[in-house]
Amino acid sequence: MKQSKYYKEQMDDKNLKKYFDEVRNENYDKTFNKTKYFILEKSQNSEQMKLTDKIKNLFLLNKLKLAIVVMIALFVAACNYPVNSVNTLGYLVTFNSGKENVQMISKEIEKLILNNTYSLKINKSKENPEHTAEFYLMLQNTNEQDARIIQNKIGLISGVENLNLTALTESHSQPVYAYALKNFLNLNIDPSNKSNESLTQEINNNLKQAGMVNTSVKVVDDSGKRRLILENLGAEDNFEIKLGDDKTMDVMKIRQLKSGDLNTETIKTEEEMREKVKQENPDLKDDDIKIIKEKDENGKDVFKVEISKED
Amino acid sequence: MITDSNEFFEYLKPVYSDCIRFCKYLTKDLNKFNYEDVFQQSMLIACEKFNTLIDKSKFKSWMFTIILRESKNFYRKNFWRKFISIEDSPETLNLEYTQDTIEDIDKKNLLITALNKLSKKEKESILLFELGGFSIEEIKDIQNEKSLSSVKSRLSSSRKKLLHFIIKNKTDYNSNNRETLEDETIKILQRTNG
Repeated sequence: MKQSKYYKEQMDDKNLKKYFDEVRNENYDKTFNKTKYFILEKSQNSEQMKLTDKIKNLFLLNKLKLAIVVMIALFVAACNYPVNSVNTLGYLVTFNSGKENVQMISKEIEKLILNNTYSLKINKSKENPEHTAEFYLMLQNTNEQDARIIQNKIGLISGVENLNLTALTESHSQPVYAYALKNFLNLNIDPSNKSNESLTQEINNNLKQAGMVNTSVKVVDDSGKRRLILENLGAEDNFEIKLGDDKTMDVMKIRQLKSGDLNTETIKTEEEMREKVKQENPDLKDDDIKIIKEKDENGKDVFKVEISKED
Repeated sequence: MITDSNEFFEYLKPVYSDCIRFCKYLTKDLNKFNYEDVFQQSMLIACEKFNTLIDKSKFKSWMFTIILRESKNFYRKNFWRKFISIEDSPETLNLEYTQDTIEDIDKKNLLITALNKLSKKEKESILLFELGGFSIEEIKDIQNEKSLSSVKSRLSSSRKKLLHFIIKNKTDYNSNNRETLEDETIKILQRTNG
């Protein structure tokens, strides 16, 4: 048995040897001189070649590579080019009324705007200080549609004149890439030697710089740990904040999804959305996910998903 | 460099055919690649760097190392070559071997196909051993391996794979290439008739 195995191996080796022998028989000695002169000519040309020719050759042989490098360089430069973006901070409703109506109008406005996200200032009119008052109603955390509804309702109050609505905007300059990344901000904050107040200020400043002016976060102490609490959330603001080191880290991840995101066309309920989010992020538990179903401006269902994960 | 070039070609002459065969079977993928490009580039580099070779007794292994490195570069750069127009391509050597019979061509094509089924390292080892005539110790140094056993086991597995492929495909390969053989015969007849 052993002998037959040995015999087979010997035969196999011979068989393979035949193939390599065929190759070993290829003799190229006749081409030696041709190669020799070709190489000598090429190397002499290469030595004599002027620097400009070398550069020309480099461009000719690498023109696609160079084109790609130039395109990437242009893209990076374009991304760093500053662009102006305008953020709406709120809406200002101004109107006039007779002095006798000031108290009544103030009360009506109080009834009209229930969530206290406004400030009202009443001045004497410059043109007719004896009889007319000027109202300045500042609406915060509201969109244009809601502001117009409030404007229309104020217009129905008797005695209101010269009613106007103005958007309060802030214009600032930032690189294109920062503008493009505005929809998702990543913040890593080191809390060592900092008070809760200064951390809160630092985080909110970062959010503001990223264009998330309507979002605010607060840092509080909870059982000896620093925790992040979401105070206000601006529409379409998405971010992740990591506070602390690996052991004591508190993470707040906010990603607001519309029905079109994550292929949610078939999702109708909050529970279905929760399952979908868990599918996409298997490391999340039920407690980490908060889902709010709302209607957007067009009457479509919008799911707000808040993920708060503690590592 | 010119003063050393004559010495370079003296050293090259005895190993010249070995170098071409090694380069050809290392890079040839059934005519998809032009092995002459790799050979030519390797020769130019070797000619330029010849004075840096201190121990001239290691000329052969030094040459084969250059060919190995250039073949790797060639594979890496092959993607970009697709975009270079024919006018921009530099002139290359023609080292076509024309003394093969149709049967030899079949055998060699089968061997090339079998070699291309091996991994790069396996292919390099077997070609260094069979065509370069290097010992296992020398192959270990050329391939920067740490132990002899890894080279030995690689050679053994490469042989098995090659044999397995050749035995399995020998009959199929010949029958599949019948049309090519006929074409080749017609071409030879046409050449003979002028």
